[in-house]
This record gives sequence, C-alpha cells and structure tokens, in this order.
Amino acid sequence: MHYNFRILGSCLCLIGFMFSCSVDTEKHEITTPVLDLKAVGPLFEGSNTATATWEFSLKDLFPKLEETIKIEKAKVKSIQVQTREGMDFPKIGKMVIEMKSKYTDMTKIGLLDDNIQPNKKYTFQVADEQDDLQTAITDERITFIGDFDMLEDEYYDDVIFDLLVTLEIETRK
Amino acid sequence: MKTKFFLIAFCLLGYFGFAQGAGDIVGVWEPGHGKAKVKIDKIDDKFYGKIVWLQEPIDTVTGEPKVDKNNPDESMQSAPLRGFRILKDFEYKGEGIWEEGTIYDPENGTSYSCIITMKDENTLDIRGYVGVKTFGRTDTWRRLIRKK
Repeated sequence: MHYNFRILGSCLCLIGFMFSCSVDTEKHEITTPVLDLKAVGPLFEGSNTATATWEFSLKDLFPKLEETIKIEKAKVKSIQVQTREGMDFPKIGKMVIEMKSKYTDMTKIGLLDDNIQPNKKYTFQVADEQDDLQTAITDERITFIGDFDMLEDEYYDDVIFDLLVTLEIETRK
Repeated sequence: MKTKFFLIAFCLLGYFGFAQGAGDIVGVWEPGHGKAKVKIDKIDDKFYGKIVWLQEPIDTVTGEPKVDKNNPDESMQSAPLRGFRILKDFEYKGEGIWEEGTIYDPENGTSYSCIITMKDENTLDIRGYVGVKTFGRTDTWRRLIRKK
C-alpha cells in the first residue's frame, strides 16, 4: 500500500513537472503572396524544375506580436498551383513540391497526382511528415522547388505557375 | 637546375590540370548499376541530384510509371521516380569533395549520409553511410558525355 502511494506521488510530480515545462503558444495561419513558380525554357520531355523564392520578415508576418518572435512549430497546411489564364502551356504530368531555406535541408511538402491543364487551379496532397519547418520560417527566406514531368517533346518558352502556400505557425505567447 | 624547373612545372601542370571547382559536379551522371541517370544541379548554394532517366520506367506489376512506393511517408508514395531527387543538400568543401548531403535509396525508402568525391572530371565516388564514414558503401558514377 505504502509502495503504491509512492508510485502515485511520483506520477503526480512528473505530470506537474510536464505541465510547468509546456510552453503557451498561439496559432497563426499565414499564406504566402502569389509566387511565380518558374521553369526557365527551353524545356524537354521528362523531369523539369521550377523554383520560387519567398522573402519576408517575421515582424511583417506577425505585426501584432510586440516582443521577440519565437517560432515553436510550423507546418504546411495547403499548397495550390494555378496555371495562368490565357498563357500557352505544354502538357504537364505530376508535380512534387519541396522547400528549403539557408539552414534547413530540402524537404518534400506536397504532391499533385494529376496532369496539369491550362486555366485550372490545383490543390496538392500535403506531406504527412514535415521536418524542420520552424527553422525555415526563422530564416526569413524560403525557396520552393516544383519538379514536374513534361509530356511533350520540347517547349521553348518559360513556364510560370502561380503558387500559394498556407502555413500554420505556432509562436510563443 | 633545368631538371628542377621542369619537375616543378610538371607538378604544377598536374595540379592545375585537375583543379576542381564547386560547379564541376553539375551534369548528368550514370550510377554503377547503369539502371538510371541522375542530373546534378545547383539550387541556391547547395547541390542536388534527381533521376532523369530510368532503364525500366514502367512498373511491371501495375503497368504504370514507377513511383516511390517504399517511401516511409505514405502520403508521398505515389511521387514519380522519374524526377525524384535522390541527392540532397551537398556543400562543396574544396579539393573535389561535396559533403553534408544525403542519398536516398528508392529500393528500401531509406536516406543515408553521403560524401561525394570527384576522382577525375568524369568520375565520382559516391559513398553512402550510416553514422560513421568507415561503415558504408561506395559506388562509382560516370559522367554522360556526348560521343563525338
């Protein structure tokens, strides 16, 4: 009996310690401006790469936060790619989107398991596993990389998609 | 004196004849097994390699183009293998060595630490390892060159 009380006491202490260590956070949903995801032509059949860079300052992202901004957690909530209205487009197959920053490794964040048609908007399947995104946000400069499969033999112009990425960011209160 | 001069000149010629720069790795390479071709390019300040050609692009079971079916993240298992980035985040360290990157093996869905050493302008030693560099496996990749 005495032994059980000791275990119960230890568990309560542990739970108390965990609660005292947990950080109070606030969630924000941030969407990038429309970014030019651009592949420089000429492009040839097979895999091609388009890139877009998003530069921002944490102060502009969180204007209501007055003190030092501390990012606790970040994850991608949605990725949308839209082909530009009236723009000539080659036939394009699946696309994978990855992201990287100065101090983070390239990580896969989304997949479009569909062919891309002109004048349409596509929502990507977002990756379940996302590493190190909070560090990328702190870097204040993110490069998005879109690898897509071109189904035509060749295409001599640049290809530009409109890219919108929505992130859920948790900051320390 | 003359012999000394020629000896020094010969050594310098050898050194500058194979002086490498970070961008020398950019190009299309064929791994030792010859089943794929990998294009290495630079994005921002690091180097990445993606599969641009597969000897057998179609999965014999599904009849569809091969996908990354062994990826531990189930949500990404239908990503196409053609176009897949298997070399990631390499930094040039000088003297023909690129480090700090990873290599992904689509056969088992595992990423390994990796070091790339340029043996000569058309040959790379790609060493994948877990934890310690000593315990790993090296594969030799050859650059694809247009036949004249």
